[in-house]
Amino acid sequence: MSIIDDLVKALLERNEIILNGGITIGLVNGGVKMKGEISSAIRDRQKNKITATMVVPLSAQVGVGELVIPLRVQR
Amino acid sequence: MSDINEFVKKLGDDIGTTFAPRVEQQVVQTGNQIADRAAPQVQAFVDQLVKEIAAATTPKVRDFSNKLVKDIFTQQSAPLRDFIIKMVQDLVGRYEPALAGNVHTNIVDRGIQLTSNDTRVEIKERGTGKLVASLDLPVDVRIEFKDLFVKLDEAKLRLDNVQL
Repeated sequence: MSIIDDLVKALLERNEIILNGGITIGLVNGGVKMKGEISSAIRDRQKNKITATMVVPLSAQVGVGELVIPLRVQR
Repeated sequence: MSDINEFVKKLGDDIGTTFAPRVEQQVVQTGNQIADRAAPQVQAFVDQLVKEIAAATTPKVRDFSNKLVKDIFTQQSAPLRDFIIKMVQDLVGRYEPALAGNVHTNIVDRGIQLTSNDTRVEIKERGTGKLVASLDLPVDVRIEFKDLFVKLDEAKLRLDNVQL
């Protein structure tokens, strides 16, 4: 194992990502829409210190076409 | 588009066409049986009545009428009951209800819209599948859905035992 591998391993295991925020999922004409904001922070687990933060705004829409349900109820 | 009045009329017409002759035949048959049974007794009663005309006829007429009516009803109740039971059985067995059509589902703002212009209840002949009557049932339903909020509160991602 190289020094680089050791370094990367140590970095990955030492830090954790903390996610906060919220996503709203709702129905709109012709589909489903998601909107929100996720803020993430990378924390050093040994020093218990936030080393970086990032805010991710989120907006997405999924289109859903018309569904036709045939009725064939017979008795 | 057929409304409820047309639906009931068509169903009633079919029932009338199919079952009215049987009812008529049964009524005629019952009437003939009553006449056949009653006529000799009436004749005998009249003869007896003439002979005893001076006697107290009113109670006899009443008693005779009561007895005759009871006898005839007793005799005819079983055939009439069987006839009605058979006719109801045939009536139920003749028709086959079915629901047909297509429901169109669309996602709209804050809800789901269900619509249909061709949904209908069909009454068919069970044996032949022939359509007797049809009742249109237009569908226009909107189901409300409130927004769903997913909250992340201190969700933590940790990597342990990383193997490179």
